[in-house]
Amino acid sequence: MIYRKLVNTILLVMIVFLSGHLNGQNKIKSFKSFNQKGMTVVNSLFPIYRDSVGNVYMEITKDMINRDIEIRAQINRGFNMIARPIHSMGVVSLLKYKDNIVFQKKILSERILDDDTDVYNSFNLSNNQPINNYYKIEAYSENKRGYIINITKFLKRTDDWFKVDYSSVKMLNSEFSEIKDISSFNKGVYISVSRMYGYNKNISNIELITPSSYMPLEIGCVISLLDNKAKNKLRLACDNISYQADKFLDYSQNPNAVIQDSIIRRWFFDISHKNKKVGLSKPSNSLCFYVDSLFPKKLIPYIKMAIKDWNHVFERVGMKDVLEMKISDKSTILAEKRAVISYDMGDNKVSSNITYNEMNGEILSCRINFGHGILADEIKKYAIQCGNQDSRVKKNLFNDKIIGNIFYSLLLKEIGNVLGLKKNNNSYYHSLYMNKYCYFHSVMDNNPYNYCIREGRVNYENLVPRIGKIDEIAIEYGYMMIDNAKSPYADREIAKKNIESEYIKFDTSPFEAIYAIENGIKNLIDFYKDIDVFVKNNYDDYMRYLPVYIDMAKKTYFEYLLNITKILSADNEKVFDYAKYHHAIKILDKYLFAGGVFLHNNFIDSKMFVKPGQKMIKCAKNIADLLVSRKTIEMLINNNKYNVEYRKYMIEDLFNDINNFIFNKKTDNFYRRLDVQSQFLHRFIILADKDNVFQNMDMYSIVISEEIIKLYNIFNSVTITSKYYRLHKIFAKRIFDKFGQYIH
Amino acid sequence: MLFICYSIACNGQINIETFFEQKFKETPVKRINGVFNTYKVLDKYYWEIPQDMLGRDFALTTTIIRAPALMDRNWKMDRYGYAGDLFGPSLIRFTKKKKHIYVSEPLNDVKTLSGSYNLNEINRQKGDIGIYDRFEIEAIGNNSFLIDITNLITNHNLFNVSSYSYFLAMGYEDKNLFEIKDIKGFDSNIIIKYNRAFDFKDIRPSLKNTSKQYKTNWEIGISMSLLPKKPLKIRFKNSRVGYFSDNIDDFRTDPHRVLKRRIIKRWRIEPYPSDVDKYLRGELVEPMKPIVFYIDRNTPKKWVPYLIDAVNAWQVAFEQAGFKNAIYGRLAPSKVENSNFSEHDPKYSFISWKASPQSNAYGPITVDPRSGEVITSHIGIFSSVLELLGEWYFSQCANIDNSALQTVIPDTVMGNLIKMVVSHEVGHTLGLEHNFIGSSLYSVEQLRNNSFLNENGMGSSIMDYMRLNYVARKEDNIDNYNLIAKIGAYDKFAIEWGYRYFHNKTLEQETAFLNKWVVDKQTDKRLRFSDSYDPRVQKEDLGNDNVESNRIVLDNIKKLVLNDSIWAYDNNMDFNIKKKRYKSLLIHYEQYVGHVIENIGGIMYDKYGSLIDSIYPTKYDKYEDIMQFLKEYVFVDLDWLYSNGITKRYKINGDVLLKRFYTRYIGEIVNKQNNIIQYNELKTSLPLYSLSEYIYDLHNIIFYDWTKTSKINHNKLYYQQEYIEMLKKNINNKNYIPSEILEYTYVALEKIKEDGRKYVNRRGDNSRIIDVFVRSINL
Repeated sequence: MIYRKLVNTILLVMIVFLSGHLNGQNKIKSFKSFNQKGMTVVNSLFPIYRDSVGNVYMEITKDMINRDIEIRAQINRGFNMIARPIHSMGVVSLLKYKDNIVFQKKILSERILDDDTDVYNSFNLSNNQPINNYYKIEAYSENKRGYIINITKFLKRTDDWFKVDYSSVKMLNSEFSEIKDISSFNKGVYISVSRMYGYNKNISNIELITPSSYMPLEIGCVISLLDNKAKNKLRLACDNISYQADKFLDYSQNPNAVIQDSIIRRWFFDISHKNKKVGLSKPSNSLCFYVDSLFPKKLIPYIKMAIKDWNHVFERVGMKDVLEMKISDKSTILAEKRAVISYDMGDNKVSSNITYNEMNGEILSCRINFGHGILADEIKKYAIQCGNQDSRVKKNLFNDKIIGNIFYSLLLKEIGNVLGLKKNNNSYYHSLYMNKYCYFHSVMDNNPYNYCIREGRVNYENLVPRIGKIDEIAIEYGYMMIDNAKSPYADREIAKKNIESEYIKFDTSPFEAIYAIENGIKNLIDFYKDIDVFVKNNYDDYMRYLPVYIDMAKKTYFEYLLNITKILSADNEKVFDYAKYHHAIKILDKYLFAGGVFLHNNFIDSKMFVKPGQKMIKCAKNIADLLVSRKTIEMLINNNKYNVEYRKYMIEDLFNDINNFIFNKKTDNFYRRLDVQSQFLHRFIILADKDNVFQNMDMYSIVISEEIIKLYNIFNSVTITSKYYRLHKIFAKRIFDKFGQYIH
Repeated sequence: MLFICYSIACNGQINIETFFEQKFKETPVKRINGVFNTYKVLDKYYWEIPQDMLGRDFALTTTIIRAPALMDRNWKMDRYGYAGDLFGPSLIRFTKKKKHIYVSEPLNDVKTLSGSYNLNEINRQKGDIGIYDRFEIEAIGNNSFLIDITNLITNHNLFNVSSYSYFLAMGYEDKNLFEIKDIKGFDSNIIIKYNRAFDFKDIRPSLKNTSKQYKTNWEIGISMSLLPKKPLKIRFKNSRVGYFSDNIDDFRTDPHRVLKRRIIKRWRIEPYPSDVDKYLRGELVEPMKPIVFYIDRNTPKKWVPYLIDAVNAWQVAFEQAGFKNAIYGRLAPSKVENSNFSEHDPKYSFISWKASPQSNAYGPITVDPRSGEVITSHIGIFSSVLELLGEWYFSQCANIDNSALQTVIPDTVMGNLIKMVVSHEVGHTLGLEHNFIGSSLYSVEQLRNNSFLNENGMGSSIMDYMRLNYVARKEDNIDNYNLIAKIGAYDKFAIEWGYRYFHNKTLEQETAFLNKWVVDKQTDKRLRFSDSYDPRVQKEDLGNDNVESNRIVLDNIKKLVLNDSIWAYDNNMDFNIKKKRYKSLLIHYEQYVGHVIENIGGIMYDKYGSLIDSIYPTKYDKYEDIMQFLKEYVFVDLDWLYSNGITKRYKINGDVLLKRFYTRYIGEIVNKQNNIIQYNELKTSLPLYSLSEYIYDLHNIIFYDWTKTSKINHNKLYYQQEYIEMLKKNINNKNYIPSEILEYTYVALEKIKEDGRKYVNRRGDNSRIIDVFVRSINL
């Protein structure tokens, strides 16, 4: 009985304790009960509290409610990375909802830019924004001036605020996470966290199951208050001007319809009204690029050069010294800085990232990261493409000026990217629009180095891509100050009008590019003659590098040929001029169909036994795939429709050229010619089979089936005395095996 | 009160003695002294880590002491899973931070950095350790820290064999059967002996996968050994000398890229400081730390001396590098002789004898990843390697030494064969890779000359698969000693190159010297290493003329096959041995045919990396010999080999084996067209054998019987048909086939058609079937 009473008493005490505990959890603490012994605070726009057991709390004062903040983070150090951006929460609006603080991430895919529209109310009723990140208020702050939330787990354990998604960084072990530093700055607060992540182990045996271990990664997280005045400064996108932009459906542009439009991403530079009238002015919020203190010193002058060149472009919109550069020191907290350039041992590529406010397109921060190894790849590419034009290459490829010039060009593109311009990585075609003067229209394209100069004095600095006319126009469009526009739509029209006179009609004749490539091939052939000397002069371990360069040269040679074919088979509004198209086919014949790879080097030929290999066959196959494609053939058939002054290149011309240049009976390089022939025949058979040309009656089918029969007759009629007898018999057999029923 | 005491202990404020008194009261605490003192109390284990051991690197190695019985041993794959197998190392380091001891993984990316571009500093951002776990300091000693390691040594993968579960077919561990049997401490290591049990689970891709469910019980020994404070000086690999190697990062060659450079794996062989002058004067000196291999006491006694000899045989190579007694073998001590000795202690390199159906041996090394230094090695000899050696001796030497015909090869012979195998494996443990050019130096005449062999051996390297002198004939009176491969000139040079000690030389100076040295030595063909694709670089070959050498051995095989007296058997063991010997003869026959085929379109390179020092095609004149060889040994009725009294007696389906032989080698011969067209790309003044000649020569051999009218043997009809089918496949192949091959395939088929028609018109005995062949060719 006593025992039972004791048990009942214990149970009662426990229930009271637990219920009190739960109630306590639900109740918002007073500041006094929150602010226990050992609690410290870092005062800032968002005061941060730390208790004695490692919890971290954030205060949001009442005047912050309904304001926008940005939460962004970067890797400060670790895993071979320096100042690398990581995926972060971004811009959110602070709200209070019941006993919670909400970090609202808005959905902006549908908008009304002009509030004075009929559908304003009805739009808003169906566009209720989500309560997507809400955090329980832990306590009231002192004098109830605001609310305190616990942010420990977001910093130490979860991916809610920031997520490390680099492939070299594996699973988080939050047991080891540690808050390192908290400090305030003018726009908010900075918190650094050391987190431990698993890493790739350097193990050759993949079957080995190794124990998990973890390395520290220092993450810098910044919470900053956004300027609420900037809300209405957005600029809408314009065709032809290639900016990074965010699409949305606009309900206010056309009263009768919804229009898909985009807002460009750009920095909001402020020029005081007074200054606007007095020539070039420096923005009050000019953008300073902080260069990490470990950045290779030899390259710093080229950062200055690149910044200077972009500043020059900004003069078009009345601004000067828009971009600046400072080298960071030990006291600099890079995570707080809007713009950072760093160099590390991470991925061997250059990358740039921005954070921005989706509401108005304002770019809030940027990072440009150079990974060790990127220059090695670019230097090699430069050597292959410009080795014949730049006499320094053969003697000293690692000349600081060459490396600096290449680095400068890469950086120009990345700065362009963080200014909002779009990288045009797939623009192989665009980049081919180089004429013999090698003018680069835009540094944002995927440009080659200048492989086409052959004559005259070469200015080495112009061998790398630089800021072009298109870039200048783009900056003018994006950054011109327009104060008098009544709406974003009017703002766009004014901006467009301003650049109209500047927007030159570029010569888009693809044949300029074909001549450029022809020069490129000649340069490559000339460079290859001395490629052994070049490698010996530049590398101690030249035996390791010579095969690398041989391989690159061959690859480039075939790429050039393939690029010519891409131009011949690409959609083009212009009707092809017979003389030029025929000339392009002649180039292909000279450097491929005639059965050769014309890269010769005495040393390599005698000492290395470089086999012709499969690359030539693959190139012939790729060229056949493009040249004898449905698209190309239909394009040439359709040429009939156009009336032009010059002689057009017609489908009959293509087949004549194929027959004359490919399926001829020349006997030099006999088997190589036949290898090319077999690739083209194979392509014809595949095309005819796939499109069922012997049964269809459209023009394309008729043309192809006739051509197949013509080829069959050519092959089959080969006389026994011909050197081609046996192989053409095999070719005829291949056609017959497939289409024998249609051949009479 | 209790709570307060415990808090104090947790904060590491009390000394070790007090800690145990307070926490475990009267319970006795067992202390095991060693590099760390280990304390055992109840089921808890503690390490007392001295201050001076913090930051030092330790190597964890795992050795199987007792391996489980298996229901279905997958013997083709199971190299591991036997007592004596050693795995590892994993490196760990103990560090202290505030109230914790961290167990970390040192990241040994050895780097040689250039000064330009600040790469040193940038590279340091990565950090050099990874954290495995951390432990609160429970108490402090005199410059030492006590941590509870119960969980670490019981549950952590570092102290388990489960990292190797793929090789050992392990599934889940049964923790109920877990036991720490013993812990021993030494000055430089701690050894923990465990019993562990796992479900059997074989996930390896193999034909003999079993789904049977059962337990496997293992006794394992894990050693945590202190590594030298100063790692061995690295030595860069040169591709003219075949050493196993590891990667390190190098920023010097190309400042814009991290290059992977290779450092060789080698033992620490250095003179005593007091002997350095003598060494430099050229006197032989003893190394501070010789390489000692302990022979498993379970090795059959009669083989022990041969195993010791096999290790000692390398002394001569180290003498060339300036060291005497640098390597030796000795029988492992008994418990009475040395109670501290154990095979799971990596201080002792070991040669274990494993009862196994595998006929092989292997020589692995455990390497300090910081420097490439070999820490230890456990060579494994599988007992059935004796059977393989017997088959080799029978197939290659029975015509010279009658003892090879005995069902059980005499011990003296077998002992020397074992010595050959173990010497090869010891060579691997010294860091040497295979060097398959080592057996292609000498002519048949030289290989049949006993005095020459006394002086030069059969080749330059035991690291080749050069086994026995199969070109010798009885009348050559070759000593048995000269029938077996031995350490050669290349092996000695390679050891000298890898182990010569350089005093007060920087890494750059040493590398420059070594690189020049090896280049200078290339004029001596005996000192060359090759891993290229080259007819001279073949496994199991012998001599500088495959045709001449292999004719001899194939004729010998024929004599053995046709000698009926050899194949009679008395009992079951006799039956099994002879059946396997016959199969071995077939394997040898096919292998020797393959050697000769490799010469067709052969290109021989003396090269360094991709740069060719010199290049030679197979000589034009040689093709006559090669084609004659094919005529005699491939395109011939081989019923004598595959369908004979032996196959009937031993119930072997010889017809299937014969068809497989023809299909395989006709395929290889047809594919050699590719080699011939590549070889014709060579820029040389020498005459080159053309594809057209090859096609015509093949035709004349394969279809020789069509020039007559007599009945054609069924085997010949089979390979004729196989050849025709392969040519037809080429013509109809949709994938890319070089035009030259296509043309000559067409020519070959035309010729077959033409000769076939003539045969049919002459009304030869096989007209009907030849007519079918001809009609099947649709050109």
